[in-house]
Amino acid sequence: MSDAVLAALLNISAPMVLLSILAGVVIGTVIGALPGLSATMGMAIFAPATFFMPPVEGISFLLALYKGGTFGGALTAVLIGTPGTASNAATVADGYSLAKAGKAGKALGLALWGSVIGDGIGCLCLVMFAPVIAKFSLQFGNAEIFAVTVMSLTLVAYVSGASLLRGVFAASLGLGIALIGTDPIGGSARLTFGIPELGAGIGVIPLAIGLFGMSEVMDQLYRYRRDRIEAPVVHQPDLRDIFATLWRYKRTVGQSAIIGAGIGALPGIGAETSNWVAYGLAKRTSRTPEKFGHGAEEGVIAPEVACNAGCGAAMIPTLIFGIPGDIVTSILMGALIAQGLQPGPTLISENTDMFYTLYAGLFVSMVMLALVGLVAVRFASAFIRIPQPLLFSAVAMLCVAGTYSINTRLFDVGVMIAIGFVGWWMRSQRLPIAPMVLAFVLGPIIETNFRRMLIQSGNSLSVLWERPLAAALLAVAAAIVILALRGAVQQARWKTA
Amino acid sequence: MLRINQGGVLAAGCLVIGVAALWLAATIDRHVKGWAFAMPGTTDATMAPSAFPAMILGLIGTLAFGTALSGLLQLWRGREISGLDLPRLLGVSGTVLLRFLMLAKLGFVLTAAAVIGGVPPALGYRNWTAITVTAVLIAVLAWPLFRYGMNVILPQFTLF
Repeated sequence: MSDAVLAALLNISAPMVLLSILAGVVIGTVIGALPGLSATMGMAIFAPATFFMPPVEGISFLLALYKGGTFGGALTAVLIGTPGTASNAATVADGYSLAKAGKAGKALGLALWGSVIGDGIGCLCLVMFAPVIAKFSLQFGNAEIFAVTVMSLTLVAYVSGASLLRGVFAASLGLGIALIGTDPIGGSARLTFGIPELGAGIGVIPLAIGLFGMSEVMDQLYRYRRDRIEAPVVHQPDLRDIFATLWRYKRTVGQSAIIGAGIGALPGIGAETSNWVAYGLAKRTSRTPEKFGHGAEEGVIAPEVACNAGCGAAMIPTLIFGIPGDIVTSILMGALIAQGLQPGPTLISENTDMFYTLYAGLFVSMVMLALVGLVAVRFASAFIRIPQPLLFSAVAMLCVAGTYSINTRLFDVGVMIAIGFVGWWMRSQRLPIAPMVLAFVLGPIIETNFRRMLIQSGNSLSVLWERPLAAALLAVAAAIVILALRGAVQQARWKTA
Repeated sequence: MLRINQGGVLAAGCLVIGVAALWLAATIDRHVKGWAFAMPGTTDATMAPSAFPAMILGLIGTLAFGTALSGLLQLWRGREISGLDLPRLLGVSGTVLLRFLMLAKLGFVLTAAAVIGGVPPALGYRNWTAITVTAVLIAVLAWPLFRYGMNVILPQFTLF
């Protein structure tokens, strides 16, 4: 193990790796800070570039971009009251109020250092718990993996929209798209309609670029109005004041980090949920709950700590079970597979050096996030004022170039654009996109394990309730469905009352 | 601006998806090549390669009809009325499709310059210096960046 740690330290100190991490944090922060662009979009567009890098540099770059993007979203949340990503939605209420009261610098300072602390705690969780969970996960058979993926899909369908029906429908579309290509058990071609390019199926990166990049571009250009975005000038925050405030709210920091890491580690849900849960709990446990929504400092700290604590923890299900914690980690999983690394229980034991390097990279990117964040806070207003028509025209070009570069085929660009139109329609109808992408990634895992389970059990489903862990996981999924149905019935009653 | 009921749009889209999914489920054997059985050498056809796709397509069809029904309920209640800017919708869709169709013939650099140079003025943004600088930066710099950085030759001009 000490050899692996030494090798990791040697690898991480290589100039190209450090440069990749710095580039990832800078690009992520800028993307997160630009209204309409998100960490997810950035990951999707830049993932193809990592296919041409060595694994450590490529994966470290993407992880750094993820962290930078998650923090960058807080800049728009505080300065213009629009969250850069769904993970920063809870920051808006108090962050924007603080900015309007002339305390934009302090709000951004709290968001930055809250993010850094949360990020560090999330990475520690990954380092401490990943090997233990990996050992435990070796006991998982086909039935358990099938059950855990079904539970993840149910969770994500439940939390990602107002209606469970729409969430499950979106997930089923993802499962349907995943069918295109080659049968994972028998290897026969299916649903290719005689198009040879569909033989290998549709890749997760063109799908993600289409759904999160192109559809967002089309939607933003369609909705564009010539209103100038006004952002306040930010003065550099006083670091002593920031740390004193964080120390004063250490309990909020601690509980938010635990919530963020805990929810982030659950397969299927991530920072989009944890920031609201942490915000709610901070308000409930605060001595001054009446200040929440009107510029409470805890209202900025709690969601930012929670959503960044989830960054490291979300990688636990991704790396160990091969089940992504959220959309960003599903793109990361696509990049890992493209690098020849198959996520699963044996991934860490078979690639120990690389994993210790990635762990080290996570901590290095945390330090770089703090340094880049200090500069970004100063220039955030300038990023935000970039004219939207120029920005989105340029992003459309990057979507095309990024997709084309994966296989150098115009066919992939066509698929990405077609998926972009589907995503645009889904956005307009408030059909959630997240369950679709996660179901697309989980589809082959569900199918392979479901069919293997049936082959081994002689076509009997009884194995699902005969194995306690599988039964428990399916019971959780059933409980989520019942909870959602109960909520829908109650809502209908309130409307009629 | 056209006034449309979003429930109707949702129902129409879901009905198309539902019918397509159920048609595919009914004719799945035509779209799946290979063995008729789960594994070569076995006689068990219940988990044949077409069984799982048929199950998922059936699920999509059922859920699509359920979602269409919720859209029809919205339509019936008359809620969710919103404006549709048809010229803008056609403009954005047309630009994206035209750019894709022209990509193979005109190449990346020319189409990128045309889109960045054309879309912002069409939306009312008239800072020509910023438009020119962005068009040149993205269109001209992206090509060598992909060529020498990632060893990828982006689509080239092949009209003549």
